[in-house]
Amino acid sequence: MQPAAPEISTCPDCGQTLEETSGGRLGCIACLLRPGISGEDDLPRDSNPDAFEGDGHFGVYRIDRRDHERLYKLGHGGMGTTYRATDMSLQRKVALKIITLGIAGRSREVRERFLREARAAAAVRHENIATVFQFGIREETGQCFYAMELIEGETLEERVRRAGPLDTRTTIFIAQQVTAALAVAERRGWIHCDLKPANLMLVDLDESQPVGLDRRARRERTAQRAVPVAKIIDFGLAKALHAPIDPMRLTYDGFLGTPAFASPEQFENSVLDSRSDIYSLGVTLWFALTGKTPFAGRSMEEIHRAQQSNVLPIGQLKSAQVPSRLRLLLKSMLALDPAARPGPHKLAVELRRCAAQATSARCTRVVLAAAATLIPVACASFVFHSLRTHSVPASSGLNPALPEKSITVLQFENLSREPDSAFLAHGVHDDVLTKLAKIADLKIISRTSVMQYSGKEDVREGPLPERDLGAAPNAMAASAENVFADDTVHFNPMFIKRVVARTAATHAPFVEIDQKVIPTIEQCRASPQIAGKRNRHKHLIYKRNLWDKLRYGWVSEHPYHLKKK
Amino acid sequence: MQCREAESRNELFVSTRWTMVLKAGDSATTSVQALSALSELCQIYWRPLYVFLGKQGYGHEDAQDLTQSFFAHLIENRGYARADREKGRFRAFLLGALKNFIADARDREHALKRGGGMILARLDDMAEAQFAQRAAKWQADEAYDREWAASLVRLALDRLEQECVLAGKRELFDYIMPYLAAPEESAIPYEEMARPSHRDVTTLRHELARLRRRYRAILREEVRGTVREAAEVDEELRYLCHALAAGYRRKNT
Repeated sequence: MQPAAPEISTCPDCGQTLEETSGGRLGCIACLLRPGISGEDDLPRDSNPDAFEGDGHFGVYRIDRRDHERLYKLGHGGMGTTYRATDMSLQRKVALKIITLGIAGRSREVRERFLREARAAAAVRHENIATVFQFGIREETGQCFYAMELIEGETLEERVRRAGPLDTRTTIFIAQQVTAALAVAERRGWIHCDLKPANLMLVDLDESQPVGLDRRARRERTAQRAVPVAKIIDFGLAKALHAPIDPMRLTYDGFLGTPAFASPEQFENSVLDSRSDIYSLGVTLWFALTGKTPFAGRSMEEIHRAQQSNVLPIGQLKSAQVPSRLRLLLKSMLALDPAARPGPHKLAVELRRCAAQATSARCTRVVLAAAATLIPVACASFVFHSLRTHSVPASSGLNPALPEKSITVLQFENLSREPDSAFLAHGVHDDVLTKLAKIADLKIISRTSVMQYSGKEDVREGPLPERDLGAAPNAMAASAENVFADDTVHFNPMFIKRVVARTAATHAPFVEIDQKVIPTIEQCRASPQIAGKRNRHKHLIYKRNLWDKLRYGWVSEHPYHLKKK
Repeated sequence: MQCREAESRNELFVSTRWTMVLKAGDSATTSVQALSALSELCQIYWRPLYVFLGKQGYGHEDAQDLTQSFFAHLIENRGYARADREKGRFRAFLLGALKNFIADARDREHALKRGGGMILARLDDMAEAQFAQRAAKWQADEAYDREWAASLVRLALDRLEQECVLAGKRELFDYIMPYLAAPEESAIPYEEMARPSHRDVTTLRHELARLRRRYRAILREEVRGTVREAAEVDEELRYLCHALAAGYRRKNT
């Protein structure tokens, strides 16, 4: 079978390690054997032809069919196959999981323990945990089953594979829901043991607008609709299917969970508690944000070794533009030592802070987008007014109502003699804007707002009359330099000549730019083949010969501020 | 079901390699075809024996020598004549015979280095390491069954690939092979495959369905070659599936 992710060579269907097959290709031997069995297509994955009675009945449940033919399979994994079914006695749709592990064939004591564990796990009720309706062992066939609330949606894994990594806000919202569920479970002393993207169902809220809600309620509902509701499935099932070795300790006779998302304790057969789930949630969120898992390996041993090295590929998060606070939180969730991980309550608090940071950054972007539209109009009106009065004092200061940390990146110029390379300048501009946009509390003036200065003469050189403010870019640049000379921060001259900051307070984010953005550009430049994979334009941008022909623009205070002088 | 009916029809006319060997065991003299069939079976399924011996504590060289000695002994001494006609599956027979052979060989240590007439493929160091890693937590019998299953699958895939190459569809095989056992249509990215394979989605669906049917038939043929009755094919496949699942659980404990 196809591996779930390139770096982890385990079968997504049954969890077994992939092996080399024909021509050195990887494949799952178990899954490749099954098609040989007669009628396997319509049989559950436990290869038991007696799994269903005639016409797809399983006790009181009737398995639904797709197109009146094939059994309606919702999914399958290492533990069993899940079908969409109808509870004929209650006329209710359910997700029926038929378990493949050989519990039924074991001793009576083991079977009773499974029922005890499953009963207790089913008692955990929360809006973000799929409700368990029924579970048990069919004495006639000896099969274990688990009937759950049918959730119409897709798993987080399916969502990421279909639509790519999630944005920060959606991920945090999902994390908050899962954390709330884990907090309730922790109070009851229950853990999931197999928390992973495939066990998180996402349900998009109904698009229909209910009648009778006031404006505020409608607004809140609209805001919530953008992010899905998360529901944890198979809660406690992994634990119920593994017998404790020592009843006094929560250690088990088999590996609990899925290697790529398992905590170090799960590999070491140590005591498991809610902090193990926190670790798995950390890996799950990492996957949601990046589409990758932090610890890669072709086998359980390799994954465990990667965990032990304790080196997190933070670069993956940076590339995905994950805010610093959330990065730190993920790092703490993935601590090797369970004691260093936050508990569900602390995690909930931290997630609220991360959500606030993400919301703030989002609002900033929205404001800037609006500003990009409004500022040119305001500028035109102001210039018109200035030309008429000619009485603006040079040192009248900046508009105090405007945010302090804003920055404008002027257009880059193509100094090569190749007109075809002109788009490279736009690419570099975009790149710098993108990098700067990562800084949450810094406003980036949109490209649209600075387009008016494109193609003008060099704004950085030559003395300019202080009062000649009407000659837009040149005058602004000179004035800015004169007024804010003390706060000028110089960057690597190869890339950005000068940055004129407004106040000393802006040094902090600029230092961050210096440390993070510039090395990133350097790295891309040094590795054209890496950068080239991102998009076609960058592939050309980072070719050194072309790069060197470009002269880079500079970063100045927002022109709107300067025009006010 | 269709496969089973077809196999039943074929059963009337065709002898499998293993049935030929069993028949040869009944007669006083062994035909060239029967020896050839046994030789082929041994060539195909030497790896499970090798893995089993490795799990028994034999080093690489010793395991290989012992495997060859075993095959030589099997042919020279007509060991197959003692195969259980009632429960005769080649897999079970081979393992049982090997166990007996090892017990005898411990008494006759000189036999270990004698070597057989058969040249077996060598595993490279990496393959050795992979074997060792995979089989680390398995019992010897489990490792044997698992490797047996892997040999069957490799054989079936190799045959399918050869057929595709002959039909000029090698590239198609490369695209489709990862989805031969895909349980759900939705798991198969037809749209993604369509462009690089220069085929439309409908054609790809037909091709995949055809290759899956062919793979299934080949796999069953290969299993059929190791069991006495056609009706035992499903049973043998189920046994191997269960063995893999059991080995997986044990490995993860």
